[in-house]
Order: sequence, then structure tokens, then C-alpha cells
Amino acid sequence: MDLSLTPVLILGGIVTGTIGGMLGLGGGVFLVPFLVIAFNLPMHQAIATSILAVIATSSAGAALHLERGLVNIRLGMLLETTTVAGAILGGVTANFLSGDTLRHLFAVLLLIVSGLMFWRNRGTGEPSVLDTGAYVSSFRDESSGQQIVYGAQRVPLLMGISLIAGNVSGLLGVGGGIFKVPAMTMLGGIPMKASTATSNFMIGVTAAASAFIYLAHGHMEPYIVAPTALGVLGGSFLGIRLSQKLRSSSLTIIFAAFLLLIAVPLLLR
Amino acid sequence: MTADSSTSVVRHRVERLTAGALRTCVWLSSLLMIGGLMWAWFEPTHAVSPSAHDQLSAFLFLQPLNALTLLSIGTVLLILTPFLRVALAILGFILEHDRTFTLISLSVFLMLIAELAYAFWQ
Repeated sequence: MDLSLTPVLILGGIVTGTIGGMLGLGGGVFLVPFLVIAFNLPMHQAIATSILAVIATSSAGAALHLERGLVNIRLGMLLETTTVAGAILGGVTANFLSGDTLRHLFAVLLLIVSGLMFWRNRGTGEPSVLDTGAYVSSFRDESSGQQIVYGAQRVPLLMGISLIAGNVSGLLGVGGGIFKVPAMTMLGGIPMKASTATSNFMIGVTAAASAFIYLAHGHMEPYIVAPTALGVLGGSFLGIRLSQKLRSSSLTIIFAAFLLLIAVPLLLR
Repeated sequence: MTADSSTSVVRHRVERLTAGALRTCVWLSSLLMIGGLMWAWFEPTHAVSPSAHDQLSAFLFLQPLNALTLLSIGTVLLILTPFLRVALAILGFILEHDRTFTLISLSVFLMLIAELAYAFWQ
């Protein structure tokens, strides 16, 4: 391993972590293509590196969300039963697939994520929140000063979507929040802040469910994963701060288009 | 104090404990990785790719201390942080006397352990 690449990996991690933090996505969808295209890293190693970065950002983010009382731990744990199963299956499957197949699957994922970003940006607004349903919880909304009480709707459907999100996470090294947050908000009737916090709490556990499989297969190269994870961790904090100051709608459009552009070389390589 | 408010106090305490534990693990693993990278930067002879077995034994302090050991401990500690997250959730549900969610969280924890066992059994 050429240690002269360490500063570049840290910088790359900061950039992808910042973009992910600004868009509330986690860095995975940007990090994996960056490592593959810029460093010619094998797909399995890029995915393993992304998984460690996801664990780092999720753990740091979850600490903050827990202190603010935003995480619905009961709902998170219930959804985690299917998410973890999906992630283990994904991690095992990934190690039977070739790098080319994974790269093509990742390109398809980028197209889907890009489409979801365009869709989310249409500004359909948050659906109404009901204080009935399963796993009723509450939090104090700092922006409005109100105590928000909510219950989860369509829990079996959310568990099914979590299984898919977990599978994608284990297979391709992304957090899966891009699937879980819209599902919890639009289908589960959970307020956006609680959805994001609960998803963030879950993501690290999901990533850990496949991390040891990648480690045992020798895909977690410490001289690559450590600087990248540190960069992504720092970048995600920067991204969250920037997101509070910048208009997110135009940024989302720009990066959704950027993801489409990345998908093409990944498909053609 | 009513049963509901007592449960709420317990939950709040466990959430704060979990938040503190997560933050400590992230900081500790980050410091270990930074230390390992700096060590490797000044002593590049250690910059060889380790096997998964080497990384795990480094975490268990079965390897001599060097850059790689620090990086491996930092990496494995970070991966284990979500395990701790689930373990503390189990503790919280036990303290709240919530059998259903103790079992649900326990099943998640057992799946994580099964993944760990599967990974290294191969």
C-alpha cells in the first residue's frame, strides 16, 4: 500500500462525506464510485471501505439524535430485525459476485437514487402525522417549540422495505437511508426528523451486519479504510453544518444529475 | 412517581448512556486510526497489507504494538460500536421490563453475533 495516497484518501473522504452530509444521504453513494474511478480500487474493497465510513458517521450522528430524544428505538429495533437479515444476506451474496457484477449493480443503484432525489425534491411536503398507530413516541420540535406525538403506520410494509434497504446496504456498501427515510415518512407517517434520526440509528447496525464478512474476506485494507473513514466522518459534520446554511433544493438537483453522470462510466468500465 | 414517568426516566438515562458510549467509541477509534496512520507515515516498513486474522488478533492484543496494530484495533472497535448500541438497547428494555422488545433486540444482537461467527468460521 502506497502511503502517499493517505492525504488524497482523507481529502476524498472529506469531499464525499461533506456532499453526503449536505444531502442527508451518508457518503456511500459518492464514496464507492470515487474509490473505484479515482483509485481503481476493486469493488469489494470500495464497498468494505464505505461500510466502515457508514458505521463511523452513523455512530456519531446517532449519539446526537439520541441526546435530542429523536430516535424511536422500539421502531428502529423492530425494523432492524429484517434490515440486519437483509444486510447479512447482502454481505454473503456480494462475496460470491464478481467485481464487474457489483459495479453494474451499483450503477443501477445510482440511477435509482438519482431518481429518488429528483422525486424527493418535488416538494410534496410531509404527510400528516397521526398520534395513533404502533410504537407511539414523541419529541420536542426545536424549530416550532411543539411536542410532536406520532405513531407508526403500515409497519409490516416498512419491515419489507427495510429488508430491501438492508440487502442493498450489505451488497453495495451504502447506508440505505435513501430508501428507509422516504418510506418511514411517506408510508409510515413518521415525522421527517424522527425518520432521519431513527434511520441514522439503524444504519450503523445494518452496516455492522456485513462488515465482518468483508473483513474476513480481506477486503478491509486498514491503510485505505482508516484515512477514508476519518475523512468521511469529518466531512459529514461539515456537510451537516453547511446544509443548515445552503438551499438544499438546488443542491439536490445538482448532485442527482452528478450521480447520473457517475453511473455511466461505472456501467461502461 | 408513576410507572410511566419512571419508565421515561429509565429510557432517558439509557439513551444518554448510549449516546455517550457511541461518542466515546467513535473518538477512541478515530484517535487509534490517526495514531496508526501517523506511526505508519514515519515508519513505512509497517505498511504491509494484513490478513483478517492479523487484524482480529491485533484487536485482542495478540500482536506486537505497531502502526498496523493501532489501525486494526481502531477498525475493529468501530465495527463493534453498533454491537454496543444494540446491547445497550437490550439493557434499556430489560430495565423497562419490556419483554417483547428485549427479545426483539436480543434477536438482532444474535444475528450480529451469527454474522461474526459465520465470517470467521469460513
